[in-house]
Amino acid sequence: MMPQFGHADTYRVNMDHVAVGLTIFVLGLAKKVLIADNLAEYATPIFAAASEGHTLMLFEAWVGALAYTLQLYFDFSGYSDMAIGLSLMFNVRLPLNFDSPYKATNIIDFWRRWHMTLSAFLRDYLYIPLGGNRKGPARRYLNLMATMLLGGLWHGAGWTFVIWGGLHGLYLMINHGWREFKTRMGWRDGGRLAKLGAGALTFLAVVVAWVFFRADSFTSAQSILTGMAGMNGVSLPSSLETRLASALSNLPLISPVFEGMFPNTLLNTGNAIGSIAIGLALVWLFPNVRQIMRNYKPTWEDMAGKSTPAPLPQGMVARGLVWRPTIIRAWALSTIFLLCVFSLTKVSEFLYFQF
Amino acid sequence: MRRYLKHFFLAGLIMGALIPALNWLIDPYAVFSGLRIAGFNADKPAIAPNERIYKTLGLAEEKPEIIFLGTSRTDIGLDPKHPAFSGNKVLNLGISSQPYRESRLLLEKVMASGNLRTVVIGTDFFAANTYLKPPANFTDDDYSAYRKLQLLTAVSTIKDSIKTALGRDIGAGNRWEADGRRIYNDMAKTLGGNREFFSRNVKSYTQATYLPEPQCDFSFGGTNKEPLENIRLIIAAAYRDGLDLRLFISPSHAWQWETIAAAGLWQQWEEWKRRLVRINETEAANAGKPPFPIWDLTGYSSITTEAIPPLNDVSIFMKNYYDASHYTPEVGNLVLDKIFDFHEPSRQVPKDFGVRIASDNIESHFARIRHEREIYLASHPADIKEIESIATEVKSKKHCINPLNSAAPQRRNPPQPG
Repeated sequence: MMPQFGHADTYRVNMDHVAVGLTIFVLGLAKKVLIADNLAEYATPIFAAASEGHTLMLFEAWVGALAYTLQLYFDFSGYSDMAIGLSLMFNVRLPLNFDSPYKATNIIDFWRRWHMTLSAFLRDYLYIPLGGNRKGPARRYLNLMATMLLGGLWHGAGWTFVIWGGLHGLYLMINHGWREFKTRMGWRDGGRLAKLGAGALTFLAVVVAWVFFRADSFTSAQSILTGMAGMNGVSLPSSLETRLASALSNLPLISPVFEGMFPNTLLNTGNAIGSIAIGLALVWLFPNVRQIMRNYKPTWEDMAGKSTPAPLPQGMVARGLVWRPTIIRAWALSTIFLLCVFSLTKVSEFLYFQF
Repeated sequence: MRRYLKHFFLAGLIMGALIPALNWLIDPYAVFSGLRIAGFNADKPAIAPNERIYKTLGLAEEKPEIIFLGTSRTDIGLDPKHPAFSGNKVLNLGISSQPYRESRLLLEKVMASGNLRTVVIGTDFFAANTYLKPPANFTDDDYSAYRKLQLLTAVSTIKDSIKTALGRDIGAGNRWEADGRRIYNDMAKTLGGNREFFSRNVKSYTQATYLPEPQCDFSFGGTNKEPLENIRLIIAAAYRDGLDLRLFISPSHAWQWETIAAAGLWQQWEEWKRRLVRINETEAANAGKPPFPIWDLTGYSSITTEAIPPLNDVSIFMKNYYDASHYTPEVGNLVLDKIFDFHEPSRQVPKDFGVRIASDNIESHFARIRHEREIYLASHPADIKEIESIATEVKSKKHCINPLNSAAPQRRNPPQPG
């Protein structure tokens, strides 16, 4: 990356870079302000409720965990895009930091796509100096675990971060073990369905680990995970009570209460589900910012000709989404930018006019 | 690329200027241009969920001479057009669930504008509980010098401007007079009559107002956490600046006192009144001035014991109350008659309505209320039974951190009315 500072061109205004950098910056800002901050409105009160000792039931616990999973991605990758865009405006290409991590189909793949600069740092300055995979399988697993535990501590001095790192260390060990086992058995990678299943399992493992990462204590994390497992019961909208109560009372395991989908936090059910659905659709179905801007090689990897996990998109949909400097896009970007700026002031409303 | 950038900045300039300009013009909270064009933005339904913004950033800046402070009881019940104040600029700055701290901030803001002479405060017992969380939309940001500028460009304002221009009713029918009094949309008229709303009231106050979850407890609070400290600061400021301060305790219906009793808070209720008196007299002594009047309008008077029509009876409506807590503007007028010693030929303040309380009469006053309560209990057995059964049912479903307060699992508290 550093040689860029030696080029004379770096010190001249390049309108292409200004336009592309600005576009990436605004898209990153939108990820942070319009998406992540909105998701935080669901994650924050649910994790706070867990921390206050409330019992979270199935739906509320899942919404909290998923909202945080998405919030963290849009927040952090948004900031990373802003940095990449801003620096491109000054003709400097920064390394890519996120490459559609929630599309990963295994944990090894996930860590090649998530916080890539930190993963590279941990690999080069912890894992490899510890011996990497050069000292036999036992040391390799130990090195993996040590690297991830320290990576957890790097995020904060708390046991929840250590558990998060430990979980990922464990995931990586299982992943590497499975890979070796597969090779030994001569198994090949599965088809589309197997990939989908692998992706779902990877995502689930990541979500579970994020619960520890976000929770302020082991007890809070445990409370959310117990809720997600359905062990604290299910609460349904009170409007369904008359229709469902008698039918469900005959079922052996399910005994729902009818206190609303969010009995502890009283969040708006439609908005919560909508926000999470949009977030999931964006991370699973859409190309990422680098893919959209592929024609302009916005990152250090593009310039250095390095490949990254997410392939550059092909086909009709991708062609439509690939960015070009059109007037419509300029106005759309400007609208997004203003929406971001205008969203900085938050006003909460009083909903009980009756009193 | 140059064309792209040009259009990006052009679009930003045009929309960045147009949107705040439209917000200013449509003025959904009546705090910017003050324009009210019939058929366009004269009706401002968005004030209802944003009453704090309307009163803090709009009304409070109109340099009033007389203001009313307090919760929704003041908001709905006290009419600035009362003849006692004719010729004066009077504003009702009561706001739903107004914490004591908000009353103080509003008072300080109006005092700074220079014209203020008289302050009427309607106080409520529940606001003295340190465990009662302030409403989510009460924010110190509303007192910042840049707040209007922020709101002019807020997405929420854009949304409310659109709703205002389209004439959407987002305020459940509530509207505000230009002097700040809320014209209450009395839902009892269409939904089951007064008794239904008395029951709902007992339910919601037992659930969320008197012993709010998750503590399900009452405490005046410790150092720095005491809501009543704000009342002390208000009183001290009024003595210092020579304001005419008149404080009264809201005349809710007798059912409200029974709800307090059913919550097990009768003693704390009395103690709260004692503290009000003590704070007032201490600050008066510090300032070397006679104490401000404090009127207790609670108890079991001919006003507060008005009979409640049977359930679902919509042929007859109460004269004094909308529900167990909120009195009508007719009672509000009697309140103002009483505390300003104003005599209106067309109405009579009942002799048993309101007592000026001070340290020398407060204990005998309590004894009288307790005695009158005994009479009320004996004469209204069915009402009392209903209140107690609602309270018992609600309490059994509360989710409290302290298992002594509830055996049910812990849940967060819903937004509190009031």
